[in-house]
Amino acid sequence: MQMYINYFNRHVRLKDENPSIGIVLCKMKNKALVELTLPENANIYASQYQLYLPSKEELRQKLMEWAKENNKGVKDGG
Amino acid sequence: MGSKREIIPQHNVHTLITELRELIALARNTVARRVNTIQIVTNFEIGRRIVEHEQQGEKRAEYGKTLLKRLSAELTREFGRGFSEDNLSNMRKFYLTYRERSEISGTLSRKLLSSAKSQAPSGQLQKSETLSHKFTLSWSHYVFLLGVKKPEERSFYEIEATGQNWSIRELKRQFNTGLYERLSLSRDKEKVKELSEKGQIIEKPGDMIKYPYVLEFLGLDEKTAYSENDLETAIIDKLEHFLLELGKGFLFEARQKRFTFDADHFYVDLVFYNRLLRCYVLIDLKIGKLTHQDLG
Repeated sequence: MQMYINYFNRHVRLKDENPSIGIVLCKMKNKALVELTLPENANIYASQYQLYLPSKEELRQKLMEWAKENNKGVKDGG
Repeated sequence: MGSKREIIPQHNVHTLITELRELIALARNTVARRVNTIQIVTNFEIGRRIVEHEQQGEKRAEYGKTLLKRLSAELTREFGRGFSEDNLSNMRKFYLTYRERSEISGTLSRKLLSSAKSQAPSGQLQKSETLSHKFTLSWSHYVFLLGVKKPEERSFYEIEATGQNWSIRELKRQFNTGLYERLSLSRDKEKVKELSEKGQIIEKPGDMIKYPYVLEFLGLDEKTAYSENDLETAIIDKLEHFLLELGKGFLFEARQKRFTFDADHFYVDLVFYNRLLRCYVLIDLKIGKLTHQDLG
């Protein structure tokens, strides 16, 4: 993805446009791997897709876990 | 113009038709919005009266139920549909949920209240149209929003539905996919607060990312095998849905966009452009495990 981004930034993007963004949309994302591979200021994001509607409860649960983590001062950059 | 009859140039007629079309569309739109406005304000007032009546009378829950039943019977007999017990109950809830909005315009609504008995109801409705500026969606949108329990979340969906002109169906879908939660998951506390106050503000790349992306509309089955190409084709077939799922400001440019470097061809799965961020957004699809080569 980094190579695609570089190509677009150097050969496609116009002067007044912002740097290109890459999304790797995968079935299963590995947070540790993403953190290890990408520099902090990378314009590349890894996110997951799912083929079914999430249950509200599922999302609420995740949100609560995340809030706890966030309160401890650990930020989730993705 | 001369006294002789002139042949009107064709393009002028087209301009005229365009103008008239716009005029008529605007008029219809305005009428529809006025009807909506009046409906919202009336329902708010009905809700208010019911609550106030309850406050003066008995506090028992059964009384409330009997009251709604009685009102529903009377109003339906006289005005027809639209006054079921459920709907009256919604109006009551609507008032209770959004009463602060009438209190902000403070003295006016209080004046309206105190003069309620002496004044003709129609005059009062006209005045309370200042209230209507505070409601931007249709009644059915609000009925749906009443079911959203958390105030911050309710406010977020109201702002987004207004800003992006969501139909009631689209609003329901966004809610059912948990848009609010998904956006919250990628934000810190301050930013989550901002969601409920201003909606989704897209200023930097990270603002548009969702965790996860919900692609239920593709109709692909988790259990059956599909290839990356299947996934991509399904997305292209449902591009309109996919764009809505991506979020604000996205335009589609190409699939399998090829570029050549050192005599090798490379293909980007999907190329989008985001108008708000003013940049290209490249999407790579991975049905298997994410590897570091996918990122680097």
